[in-house]
Amino acid sequence: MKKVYFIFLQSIIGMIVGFVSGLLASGGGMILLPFAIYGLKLSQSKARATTICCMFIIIFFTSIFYSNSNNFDYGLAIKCILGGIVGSFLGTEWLQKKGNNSNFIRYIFIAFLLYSAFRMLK
Amino acid sequence: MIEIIIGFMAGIFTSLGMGGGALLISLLSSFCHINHKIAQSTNLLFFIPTSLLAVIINIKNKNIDFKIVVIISFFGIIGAVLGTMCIQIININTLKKIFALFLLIIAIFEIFNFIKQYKFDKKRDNKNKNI
Repeated sequence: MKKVYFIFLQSIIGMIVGFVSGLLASGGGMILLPFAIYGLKLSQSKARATTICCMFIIIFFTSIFYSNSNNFDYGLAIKCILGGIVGSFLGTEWLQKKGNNSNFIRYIFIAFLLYSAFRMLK
Repeated sequence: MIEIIIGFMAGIFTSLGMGGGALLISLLSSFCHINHKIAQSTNLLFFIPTSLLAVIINIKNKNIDFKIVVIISFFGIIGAVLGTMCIQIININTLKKIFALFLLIIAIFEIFNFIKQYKFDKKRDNKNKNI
């Protein structure tokens, strides 16, 4: 019985995550990760790994659906990806050297989110 | 050039486990004045190569629970179809407003998390002092 309940819960969350990533193209992982940790009681590393694998599959299919609607700018995407690969490489190195002690970056992130949210709502 | 720098910043945030995607879309859309829908599709394309490496490493380390992955991504794909249908109906200004609300929710959530972490750290430090 408990198993059925868990499968039901996972399918609902999956639908929500897919809908959000289809509509907003981001943030699916931010919903799925807390669910995997607190809902499914996975360990931190396992939850992160499972989340990123789910998001990879969902985003892959979402971008196929998107490609029908002619909203792609491949030149722009390639430039961003070039920067992104360097950035994520350096970020990972930094994380391994200093540990997850990134309070300062968190402040900046929260401030930036609030600022751009109000800018967009205006 | 500015696009490369934006991608670089988003890459750093992604690897630190914070929303790199939200950062990328809002920078492109509201600071570079790129069409919001194009900014969103750029984020989709951005995610695939930058996360591919993480997926491969995690498969090698056997960290992934594939039973969960199958269920969530199956229903996730159905949800994604519905989401992309919605995006074709909604106009850009409404979409931007929804995105802004979403950013606000993330910000509140992050602040909440931050306070929780702060309390946890303080408790731990006090314990260490007593010992």
